[in-house]
Amino acid sequence: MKILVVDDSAIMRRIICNSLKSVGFNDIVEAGNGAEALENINGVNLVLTDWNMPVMDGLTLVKEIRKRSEFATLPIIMVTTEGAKTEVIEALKNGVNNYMVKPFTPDVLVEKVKATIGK
Amino acid sequence: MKPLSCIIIADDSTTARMIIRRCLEIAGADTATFLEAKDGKEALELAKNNDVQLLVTDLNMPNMDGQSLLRHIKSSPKLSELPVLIISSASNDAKQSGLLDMGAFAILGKPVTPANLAKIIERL
Amino acid sequence: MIQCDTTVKAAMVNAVTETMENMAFEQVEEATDENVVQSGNVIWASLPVIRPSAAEISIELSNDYAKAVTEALFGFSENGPDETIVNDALAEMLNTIGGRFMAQLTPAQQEFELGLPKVGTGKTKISPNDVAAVNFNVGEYILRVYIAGLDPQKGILINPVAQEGSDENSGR
Repeated sequence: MKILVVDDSAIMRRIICNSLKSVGFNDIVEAGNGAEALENINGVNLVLTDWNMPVMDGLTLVKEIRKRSEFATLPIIMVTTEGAKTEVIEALKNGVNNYMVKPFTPDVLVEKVKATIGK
Repeated sequence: MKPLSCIIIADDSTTARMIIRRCLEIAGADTATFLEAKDGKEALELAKNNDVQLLVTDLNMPNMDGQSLLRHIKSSPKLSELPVLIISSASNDAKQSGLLDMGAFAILGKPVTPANLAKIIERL
Repeated sequence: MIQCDTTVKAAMVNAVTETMENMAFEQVEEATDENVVQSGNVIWASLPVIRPSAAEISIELSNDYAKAVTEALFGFSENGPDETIVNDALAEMLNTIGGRFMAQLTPAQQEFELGLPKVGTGKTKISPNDVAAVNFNVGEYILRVYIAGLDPQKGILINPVAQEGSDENSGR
């Protein structure tokens, strides 16, 4: 499964990748903002995206992804900081499948991925 | 205290193996022969082919980790009595109880000291 | 820099002190100057923390100090220690620091898990907004420790166990 990790913080991306790799997800592509994410989205099976990013933020990215028919059902998990409740509600309304608080441990991740993809 | 003539030290870090050996020598095992292994597989081979009184191992190692090594030793008719001392940076109470249940002789956290090792080896 | 919670900072000071004293027989002192500058070429090592919090601990030190620590461990050599052994020593140093750090912050009945350390040259790739720094003086040298994966507001490790409403000060 190819996973796209979108976050403007290099360290946060690294921490997220470490979590992913520790449970066997080694096919990972990274992006520092929504625009970079769109450039790297082909062949991706799951998107994990931060919300507050420069150039193109998470909400805009999700809307752009859902505009394309080939990505109508691409699973997207919003990665957020604690207490961003209103953001989460808006995200879910705009086509995000699930959300996680960062940084997340592998157990939380696996749970959310299973819940999202239904494996 | 049983005289220790041959001890295996298993850790993928050269530095860790050197420190453990140094601490063991200071703690009283200064006449022992030390055999070193970079992973569980090498350690198991050494244990099978040598007359060893103590196996000291890390947990996080490639090829075969410390836990698997412990399992192999305890389930082998020839080696099951070999005391296994685990020295790991990931050691705390929770980790320790699981490993003791699996048959580890003792578990120490890093950094290891001659004093801590002395307490363990006098129980052998 | 993120302001580190006192429990987290104390855990790191303790971890570094204990590690350097017992591994390399070195006395360390927490440096009060936040704006320490490393002179010369630097080397870094980073260690992922996997459970119960997802975090990363890195150390940054000058090449000269890295060589000095390696020699303190292994003894002096004619042309100085080779790169392989310096990297090995730093990785083990960080692995030990990380283990002591997490052992203090994780509840005793819960296991913690560390990833594998990585070593590289040049400064660590970090942005100041995402990390807390704890600095140490070791003789004439400086050791910088960065902790990433802290809540920027609270300065604590973002810990799923704590989030579920159990005691936040979960250190023993």
